[in-house]
Amino acid sequence: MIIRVQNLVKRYGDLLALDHFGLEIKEGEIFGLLGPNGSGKTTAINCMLSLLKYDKGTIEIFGKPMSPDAYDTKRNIGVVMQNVAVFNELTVLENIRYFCGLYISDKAERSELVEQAIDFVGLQDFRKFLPKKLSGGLLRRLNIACGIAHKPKLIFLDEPTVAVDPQSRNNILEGIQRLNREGATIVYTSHYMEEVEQICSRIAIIDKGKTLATGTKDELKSMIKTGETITAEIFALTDGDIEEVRGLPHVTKVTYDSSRLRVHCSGGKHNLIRLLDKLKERDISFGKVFSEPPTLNDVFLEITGKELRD
Amino acid sequence: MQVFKTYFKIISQTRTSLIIYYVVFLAISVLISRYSTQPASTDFTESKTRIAVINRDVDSSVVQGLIDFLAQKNNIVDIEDDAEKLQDALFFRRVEYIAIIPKGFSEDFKAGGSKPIEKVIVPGSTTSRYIDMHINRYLHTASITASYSRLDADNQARLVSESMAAKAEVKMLSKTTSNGFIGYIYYYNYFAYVILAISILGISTIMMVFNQPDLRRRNLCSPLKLRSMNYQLALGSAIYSVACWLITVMFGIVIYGESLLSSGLLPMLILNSFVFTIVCTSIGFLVGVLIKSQNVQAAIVNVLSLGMSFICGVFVPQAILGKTVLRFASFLPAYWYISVNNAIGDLSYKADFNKILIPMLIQIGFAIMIFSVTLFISKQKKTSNQ
Amino acid sequence: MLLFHYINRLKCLLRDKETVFWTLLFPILLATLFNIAFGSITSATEMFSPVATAVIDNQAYQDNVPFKEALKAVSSGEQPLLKVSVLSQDQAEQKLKEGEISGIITVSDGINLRVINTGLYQSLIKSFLDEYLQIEKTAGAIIESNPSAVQNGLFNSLADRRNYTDEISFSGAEPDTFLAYFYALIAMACLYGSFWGLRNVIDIQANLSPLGARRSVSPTHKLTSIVCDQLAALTIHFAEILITICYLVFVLGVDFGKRGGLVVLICFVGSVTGISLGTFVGSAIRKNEKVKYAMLNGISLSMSFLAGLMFIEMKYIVAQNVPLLSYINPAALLSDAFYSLNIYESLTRFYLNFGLLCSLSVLLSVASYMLVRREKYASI
Repeated sequence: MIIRVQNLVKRYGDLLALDHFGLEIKEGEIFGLLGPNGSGKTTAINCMLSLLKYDKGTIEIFGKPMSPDAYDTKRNIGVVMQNVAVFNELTVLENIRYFCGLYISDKAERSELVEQAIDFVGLQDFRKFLPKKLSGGLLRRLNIACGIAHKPKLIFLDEPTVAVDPQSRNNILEGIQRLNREGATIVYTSHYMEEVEQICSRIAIIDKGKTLATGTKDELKSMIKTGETITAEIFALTDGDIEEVRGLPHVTKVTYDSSRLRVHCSGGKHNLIRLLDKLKERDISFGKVFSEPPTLNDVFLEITGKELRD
Repeated sequence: MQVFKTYFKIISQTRTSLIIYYVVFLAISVLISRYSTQPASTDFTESKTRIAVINRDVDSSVVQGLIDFLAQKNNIVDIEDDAEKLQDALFFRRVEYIAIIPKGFSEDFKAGGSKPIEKVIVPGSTTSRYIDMHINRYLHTASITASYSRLDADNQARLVSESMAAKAEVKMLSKTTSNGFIGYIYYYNYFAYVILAISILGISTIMMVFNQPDLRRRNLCSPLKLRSMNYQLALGSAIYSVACWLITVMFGIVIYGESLLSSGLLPMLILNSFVFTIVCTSIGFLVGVLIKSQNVQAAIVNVLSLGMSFICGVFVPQAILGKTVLRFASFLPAYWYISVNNAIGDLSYKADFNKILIPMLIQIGFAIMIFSVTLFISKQKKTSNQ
Repeated sequence: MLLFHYINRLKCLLRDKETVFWTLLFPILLATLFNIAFGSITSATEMFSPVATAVIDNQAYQDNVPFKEALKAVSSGEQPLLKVSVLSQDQAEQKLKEGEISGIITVSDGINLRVINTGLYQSLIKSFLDEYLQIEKTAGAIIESNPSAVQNGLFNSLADRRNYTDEISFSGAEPDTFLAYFYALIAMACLYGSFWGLRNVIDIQANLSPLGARRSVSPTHKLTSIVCDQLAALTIHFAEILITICYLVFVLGVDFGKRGGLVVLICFVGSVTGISLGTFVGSAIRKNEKVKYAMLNGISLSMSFLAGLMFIEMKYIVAQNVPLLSYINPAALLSDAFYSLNIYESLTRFYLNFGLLCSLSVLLSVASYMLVRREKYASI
């Protein structure tokens, strides 16, 4: 285990930010912390990094308890904060060099790493720019470069794609996968489930400071009842029609809203055929029809009773 | 030494602010030490006070004699006899004393009457007592001469002015007779204010960059030891302060040149100011760790630099501050800096090296203490609650 | 609508508790320290102790009866001037070096004084000696011209001191010197309102902050936002100045004279001047925020310095050498206004200062508005 967190409790006054939060992360994973805004993702990361005091619980990184003075542990960690944390007074190059220099004392090695980091995030043309001259996306990339330049074994990325244009976003996501291939274990937080689904090998779903479920995306999806969601565009539908649909086998939930019929089915075969038969039987005309496997949103919805995106 | 190097990159990025501060404070210290001499009342070379004499009476021999006598001792400024103008002259200190000889004064004086000379003075002025003394002495002598001597009016006037000239001889026992030393001692006293303000402002300006919450967290996540980071920051701050100190010392030499160099006191003044600079660095460093916004910075700098200067004897000489205040001030480092300076000023006639050495050690003690407190606070802030 | 903007801004500025706290606390803290420092000075001079002096014990001294008498006279009574000890040459010099006595008087042909440094105490001994010698000379000359004078009470008359001066004043009040320091302090506190003004500019200018950019695209007229922002800042700053004044008057007992209404008025104008100064620097200086803060800090400090905050004579030196400067330096105008309110009957000078401050504020505000009004920026 690279990270082991047990029973972590953190309060902000009356607010219970982390409620017996637990986590285990293995080497080589891209581990996703998925949860809505305010669910405690950043708090959990800050506690793991010993930036925040917590009320209860244990945190071990690389098998050793984490503390503000665990410098050997810190040497192998890279952090990319949610907010851009760079010196506005230093140029792109100087910023990366500074942060890399906090970890690497050998000068030649450092220059090499700094160049690699610049290539990695694609800031070659902006070496001499001050941060305030960079666009939002480029600034984010600089923020990442500062966190990973020293090639850490464990990287925390706290919502690195917030406020980033799609192009930079893909660049960043690819980069994270590349870092992982090169051997880094990655802890990734986001409230964009697509991202998490796309890159994470394991995921923890968090809400109200608790870990609700942990596993690969398939494991998570198999935890819930929904096996498939069928959506059909139908312009006119009576309550009776809906009741009929609801009566079909394996159907767990039916919603009809703005000309869209959504039918949630538990596992099993021929759900789509059965639905189409029913529609034909009742002579209901329909437009596009498609079937989807469950998303993390469905998982979240089922566990917490609310949508991940509000 | 990453942090250390970056410290100087940030200094060069914030140089405009730092230069503004430096220019302001240097100008203040130069102006203040140039224009402030010791108060007239405490000096032998009785400095001349600017006074106005308004004669509303006739030009009698007694009036004329009095005016001549006052003119010898003071600088007489001509002002029209107009209430508004006189008031303005006092307001802007073109004169510090206005003597008005009322109508009918000479007649009354001759008759042994008690009509007084009217005076308008700057409130609370100490020099006015000297002028009162001059007038009283002259008129007293004139009145006694008039009533007892059998001389004619002209001879009376001559006798009075002759006897007014009598003076006790004063011998200075000091080795150096130069009177100019006061200037540079003052310069080094004001130095306390300047270096205090410039250190706190400069260091905290730079430290605020390092203490931006997100940047600080990123630094804390690195394997760089907090202690090492703090030492590098402190070293950077110290070099900055020492640079300011060096320029200020150079300026002092430029301004006071010969008199300072020949006094032989320069090495000690330099040593003392260097020690104090170290104290100021530690204070600046402490403030830098504590504050977050620039408005707060301005307020704290003013309270610390002006407040300490006033009660430790930078602006108001220690000699005239009350005992309780001085006892209170002795808990502040500037008090010890100033007392060393004063002791250095006294060296020409009284060599008491304990009065120089011990307060310097006390200052170093302050620096160590403040620096330790800073490290402690910094450690406490390492993991936060928020 | 105006009220909405105003209240919002007021909330926004007040929530910055740290700044509100420190901008209020710093003049109060400084005033307290001033009070401690100056309070002790007055009491130190009131409790004047006699000056320790030595007279060399020689024949000439023993023979000079009038001088002995005179010494006796000044070292006795309710408030003796000197504390005289009669010592041998060596003893006296030893004590002088140790700092136990301030001077050595030697009577020989004449009378001389030996000291090792100069100061108030030494001057006092000297002026006593001067006066003695002068009386001696006068008496000698009178007796020479009229020997019977002695019988007619010459010596009594000589000893009979009279005061020939009578203080009149242009007004009733008689404040002490230190008041001027407090006035300069209030002036400085007013000028530090410039930080509020600067904050307002930063929050309203699209090229200075994202917040400014957002507000610039709103349909609210720029003048409306500016006026409301400035009024909110003024409310806070003026309140702070009033609290400071109250503290000075009721807690420290600093004398602001009897015209309370006018004191409040001038505080108000001072607050306006401070805020408009900040607005002006904020909009006129095309540099980063740090530089603007440094400029304001520097300007406020140097103006206060020139108004006598650190060294009260500075104000008069400026008034004599660069009179123009004292008419445009808001800190000097403010402290003069307080001063003239307190000590002068006539309000001429007060209104002059008041008028100058108003014009200065208007000038700065109009200039800032011209600068801020431009709605497009070269770069954001």
